Amino acid sequence: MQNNQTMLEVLDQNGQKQSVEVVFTYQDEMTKKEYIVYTKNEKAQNDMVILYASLVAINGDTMVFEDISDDEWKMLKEKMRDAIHT
Amino acid sequence: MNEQLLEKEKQLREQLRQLDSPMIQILGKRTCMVKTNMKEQLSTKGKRSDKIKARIDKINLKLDLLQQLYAIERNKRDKNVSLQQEIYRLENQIAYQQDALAMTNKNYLLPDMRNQIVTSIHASQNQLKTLNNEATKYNARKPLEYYETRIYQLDALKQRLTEQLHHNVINQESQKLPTEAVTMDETLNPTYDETEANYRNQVYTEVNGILDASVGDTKGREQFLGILGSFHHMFHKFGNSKKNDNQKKKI
Repeated sequence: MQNNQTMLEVLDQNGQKQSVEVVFTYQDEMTKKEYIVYTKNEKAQNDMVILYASLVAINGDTMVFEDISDDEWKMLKEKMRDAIHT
Repeated sequence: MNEQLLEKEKQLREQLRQLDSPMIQILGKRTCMVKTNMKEQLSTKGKRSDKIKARIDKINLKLDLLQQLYAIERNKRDKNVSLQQEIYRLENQIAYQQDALAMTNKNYLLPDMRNQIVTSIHASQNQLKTLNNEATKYNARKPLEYYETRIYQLDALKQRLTEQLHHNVINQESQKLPTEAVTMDETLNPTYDETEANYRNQVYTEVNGILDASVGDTKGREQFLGILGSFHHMFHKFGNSKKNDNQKKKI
């Protein structure tokens, strides 16, 4: 593991405990909603890696990663592209 | 008694289990794919954003402290000004009383008045001493301009960092990351079909280096094949129009 990696322990949708690497976070200035992009470092062909993106929310005492709307996903991908290409 | 003990143990174990269990639960997610080097870039930028956020937080703390100190210094200055005015008034009063005392020295007919003036001068001098001591407490530790300048500078820095954070701009000291030119020819490579075959429940559409996945596992294989078919149709359509255009587009 590299030193600058930020790892999180999460429960996936099947209730399985998993360790994921935080790749990118973004907070929308208008809505104040926070989004997270993380990876399990699953490699695909062509030197690709799979990323997952969720909305960070608080549900009672628990932090949860929720699904995001199409518009939010579009906006988040734009932010990711900006970050990659800037 | 044993049963109570076992029940207690059960409760404690449950509490421990809850503490050990991760606090973050994934309820939903979107999926995409990026080149490994892009993920590293994204990760680096993300970390940089965190650092910028930490700097902004620190600046906010400093600004808060400086503004509080500025307000205190300003109060001190106001207090000092009123004290200095009082000191000036007392000094004038003492000078006037001393003139009056000199007059009484020449005129022995007014001994009572002389005593009264001497007593008054002593009182004024004591009061002056107290006021001078008081004024010392309100001396500025630093001039107000110092705080004004620092607040201005920090505010400007905060604004720059906020803008930098917003745009995820690399600061000048950092090496500028090369922009990867992704052309249609490279990204719409037939080998991506193999990728799809490996992730049978996902269909990927490519947008500027980020492969977007629509999870189709709930809709079934038929729908997946349908989407994949239209996906290929789109590829061919694009290929034909591209031949006609005979030009290379960048996204």
